[in-house]
Amino acid sequence: MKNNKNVITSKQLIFMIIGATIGVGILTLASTIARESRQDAWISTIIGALLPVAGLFTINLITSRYPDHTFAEFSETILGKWPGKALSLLFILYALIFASIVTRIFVSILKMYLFPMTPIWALSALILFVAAYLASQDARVLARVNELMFFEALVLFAFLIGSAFQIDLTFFQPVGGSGLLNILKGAYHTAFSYLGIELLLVISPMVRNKREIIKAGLIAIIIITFIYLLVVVISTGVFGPDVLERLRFALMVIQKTYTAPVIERAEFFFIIFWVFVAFRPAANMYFASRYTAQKVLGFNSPGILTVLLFPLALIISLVPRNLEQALHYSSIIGFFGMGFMLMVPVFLLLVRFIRMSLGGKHG
Amino acid sequence: MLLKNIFGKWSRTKNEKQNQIIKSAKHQTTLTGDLEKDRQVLFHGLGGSVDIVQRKILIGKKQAFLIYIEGIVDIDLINKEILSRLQRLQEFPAQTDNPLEYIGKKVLSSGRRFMSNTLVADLLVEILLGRTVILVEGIKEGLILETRGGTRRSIEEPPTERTVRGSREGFTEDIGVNLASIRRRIKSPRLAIETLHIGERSFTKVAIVYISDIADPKIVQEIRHRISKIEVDGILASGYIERFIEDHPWSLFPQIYGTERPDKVVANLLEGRIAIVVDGTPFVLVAPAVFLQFLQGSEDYYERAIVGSVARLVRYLALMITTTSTSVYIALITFHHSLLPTDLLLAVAENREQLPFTPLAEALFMEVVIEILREAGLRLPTSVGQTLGVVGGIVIGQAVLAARLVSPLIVVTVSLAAVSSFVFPNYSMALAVRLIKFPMMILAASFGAVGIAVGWLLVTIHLVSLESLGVPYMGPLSPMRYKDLGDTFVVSHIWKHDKRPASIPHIDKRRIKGSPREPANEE
Repeated sequence: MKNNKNVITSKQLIFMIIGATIGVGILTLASTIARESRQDAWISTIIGALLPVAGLFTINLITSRYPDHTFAEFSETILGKWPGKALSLLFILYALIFASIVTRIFVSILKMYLFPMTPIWALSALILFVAAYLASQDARVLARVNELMFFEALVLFAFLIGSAFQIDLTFFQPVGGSGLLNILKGAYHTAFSYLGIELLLVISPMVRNKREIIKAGLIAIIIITFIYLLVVVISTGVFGPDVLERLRFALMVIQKTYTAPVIERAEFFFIIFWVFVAFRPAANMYFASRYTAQKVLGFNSPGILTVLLFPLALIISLVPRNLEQALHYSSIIGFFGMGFMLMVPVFLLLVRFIRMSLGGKHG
Repeated sequence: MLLKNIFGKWSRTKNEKQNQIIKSAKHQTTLTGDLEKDRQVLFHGLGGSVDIVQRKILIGKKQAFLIYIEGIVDIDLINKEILSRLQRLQEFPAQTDNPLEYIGKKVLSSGRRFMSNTLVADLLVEILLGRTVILVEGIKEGLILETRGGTRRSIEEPPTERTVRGSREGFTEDIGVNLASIRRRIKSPRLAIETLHIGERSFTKVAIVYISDIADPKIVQEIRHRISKIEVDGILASGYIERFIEDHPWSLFPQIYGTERPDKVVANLLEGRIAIVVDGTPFVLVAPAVFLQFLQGSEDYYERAIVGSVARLVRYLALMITTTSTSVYIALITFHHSLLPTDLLLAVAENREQLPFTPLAEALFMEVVIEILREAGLRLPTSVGQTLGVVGGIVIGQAVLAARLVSPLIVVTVSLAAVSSFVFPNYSMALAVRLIKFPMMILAASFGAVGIAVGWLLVTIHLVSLESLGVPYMGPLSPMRYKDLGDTFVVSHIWKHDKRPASIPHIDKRRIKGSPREPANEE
């Protein structure tokens, strides 16, 4: 019975990838892209989706060679003990910083809209506490929560559909008019929003049916892209690129314009439901960090490691001075994320190949 | 030495079992045939208490002894049937070589169970269970007669789980009656009842009941395994067993369903669950349990689907109200005034000006008052309880308002939460759920609506992490089983539940093989 604790189904993998990816990015995505590719933001969104697709395949290249080993384990087998541990440590830090910065952005937005008086550290501690609590559970629970929250998050998109009627199609014209270079630049700016698939480095050995990883990953990416497209199309369609690029949180403003008969302040409820969505990447990345740390240290106590990582995460989340700086940091994390998605697997494969051709024997 | 003690404790269960086997080997003493000696052995074996009745009688000119324990036997039966018949026997026929067999088969042919045994230890157990033992001079065997009886509570409608439409029968303290009322509802040879005795001193009979071609054998085995590992002095209630076998003892939520209604138990058996019946408790345990099950009443199925669904939705609403209404009040007053309509906001502001306490303080005060009233009402007889309700509810409520200690809004909110908490069909869950609101109130006072959202997140994560005998507690929601959703938040027509719920492991999937609703399947 104990053995199933870290086993997830390929269906749950879909929800985990979605949970790790969709979070705070959803609020800032539209305006960030619109600054570069204006009315063609939606094209950039689609192109941006190529990043996780590429990540999925490169990660799968390496994980399919080590179906029963997690990142910390196979990097040690390939690179040798200490270099492998160093790389894993980098990943632990990356995942933890990811979780903390996501929390910070999340908390800043909360503070801006709801709690002008509450200090940042208190809100950060609150959100990180929830993330830590979930991260201290085993992968199966994490997967189930991700699944349940996905369905809860559908309420959030009901809010969006309500404003779909205000879309003005002329805002999208001329299609492709902002130029290929700008569209690509816009796509580049989606990178942070599409991070999350690197979670596979850690969780792929836990998936029960390994052959379905690629399929599950692709389905997840399609759902993510669809949701992002919905957000971008509605934001662009309602505000038009000129207004959109001046709005930090276009989605919130949409909720303000939206007047329902009963719910007067829709953005309030939107934010409350968004809490259920936004904590997930933090929790998933916290888990990845905790789990890898566990493997690197060979110390099998989820609870203690979660508690040990908590102050570190809290301090990192307090490093940015304001929201803009936090967003800036998030784009730096984007680089590292791409590194772990694309470069690290390729690098590991190369080293493995070289070692195999030199040594001749390697499992 | 100390270390040895600690380790000794860990490995205790194994050792004790061996000890018991050794002990029982010592108890291999058999009857001798010497009547007085055997009587002494039995009498002292039973502890020589005053409620042990020994009657010296003559059966067909032979000295004999009748031994039983007063109160737990059916005395009428012993007097009218057994004694009178035995004494009417003048002489044993000459050719009988075994008088006991003759008594059992010819004299006492009342259809009652009887058997004979030579082991003293076995005889003692039988006497303790309420049977009567007859010893006859010169014979190395004892005759055991089924005389269990005595006064027990009769079958009544369970007070905590009344239904308007549905069986009025409830379980009693007698395991035999309880098993019979289950058996009466499932007349199938596949209804399996396994019994064992738990409790070194109480020697309580515990029965595991399941339908052998529906229940998952792995879970049956797990329950059997866990129950057989219990080694305790006494089992007084099924709650003891529940505490011993549940997966997460530190959780707030009950992970095993306790009910007093045989129809509920049978419905659960038919879904593939396993019932645990404990002697001396009218509460039968049903496992594995899922969270949503605690919010489902039997009327949901007995009434029309639409009515049942509405009732169920009301319960979910009550769950939300009882856990969060007070915290929503606190959050609104403390952080989100702007959400209130202007008129209400003005009224609240005017009101609050005269109040000495913060919203959290007044809410906590009122909630504690309600908790005290509830606990007090539970212990009191009905008539006094009603007075208490009036005094507590109306007088305190009014006086507190007049004294300007709390605002009228909080009285409304807290009473609404209190009333909502009585909606749950299961008492253990109602107890658990009302406790959620206290941390929720503190979260709301510190972080407003986000605090409430975080509170719910924590509760959800906790619920998802729970398991009942290895079955996910939040099933069918997490992991999501789409096929079970017809019987989750709403209940669809009973003839549509053609498959057993997938969230409970079972062997036989099909539940309805035909109904007038569907065109007949031609295969």
